[in-house]
Amino acid sequence: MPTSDSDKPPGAKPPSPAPKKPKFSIQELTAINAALQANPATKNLAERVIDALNDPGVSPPPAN
Amino acid sequence: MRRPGTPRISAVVISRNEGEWLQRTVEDLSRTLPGASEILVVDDGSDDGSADFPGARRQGTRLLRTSGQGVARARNLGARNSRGEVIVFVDAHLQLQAGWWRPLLDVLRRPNAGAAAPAVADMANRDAFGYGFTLQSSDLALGWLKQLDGTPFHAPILPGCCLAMTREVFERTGGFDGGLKSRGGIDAETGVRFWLQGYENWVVPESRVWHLFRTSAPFPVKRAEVIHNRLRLADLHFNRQRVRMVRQALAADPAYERALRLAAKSDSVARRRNLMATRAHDDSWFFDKFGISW
Repeated sequence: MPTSDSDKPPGAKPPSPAPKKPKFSIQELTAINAALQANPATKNLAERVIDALNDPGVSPPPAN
Repeated sequence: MRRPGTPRISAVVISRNEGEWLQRTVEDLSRTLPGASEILVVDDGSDDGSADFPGARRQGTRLLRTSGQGVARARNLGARNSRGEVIVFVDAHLQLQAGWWRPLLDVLRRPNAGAAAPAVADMANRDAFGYGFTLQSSDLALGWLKQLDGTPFHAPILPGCCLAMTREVFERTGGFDGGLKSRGGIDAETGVRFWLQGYENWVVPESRVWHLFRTSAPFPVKRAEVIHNRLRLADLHFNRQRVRMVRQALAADPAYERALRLAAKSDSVARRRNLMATRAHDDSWFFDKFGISW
């Protein structure tokens, strides 16, 4: 068990609120992207849909 | 005070829209690093004012501002503007305990040591540590490794959230690949390249840090750039068969075509040629060494 003073966040301010989870999964966004791609009127919106996923990077280590 | 024989440490902190976490990380570094150390914050295009706190310019701490160069380039810029014999690259959302740096420096003294990293746990799950990464599948997703025992051990890839190397290694390797865009895939490319160039990546379980894992980045990230970075790792370092496997694995991604166009406009062909000319091992050696079998 870690016992050092770094168990507590440095500074007196409370932590920032946890970021909201993405509202759509990659599978859902892929489907939306495909639908937008298929229509010439909406094709230029398709990239924005996928970029909205905002890749979070590496996942945390799993619990042992 | 710096003890005799302890090299000067430069902590390079890359930050973009980190909110209060940047200040907390800098304060933690100030509290735990030896006295002669320096902290260099590279604020890579924040628009949240997070780098404006007074401590960002106190003695021993310097602030550089860039405009969204991406993690790899921002880290290189910070390192080139630092002065320590050892450089530690630190994410701007980290908690550190007293003496965390000492076991890392001990390992960096070993022959062929390239980089060293601590065990990393999520701030929200403080006892679940990861010990470096492996390439868990042909889409080049990373999987955390478990601890072997309490002693330092080789890992294919180290977490860049807290990564130490000597200045000599940084200069010999060129640090991080400036062709990598934004974020994502930087740890993997660095880890593979270090091994193939003859440098060893060490996980040091005795050193522990706590990292904030978010569900989304605090700045826009183009998915095509994330996929591009994975393609680039394969294009730079892998044989034809593995490049084909990686492309097949990523082809279903909706950003794949855009990522391919980015790769086609990049310097990857010339970069691969240069790396091949200087590498100590090929990618099959790397896959065999770590038992990666996809």
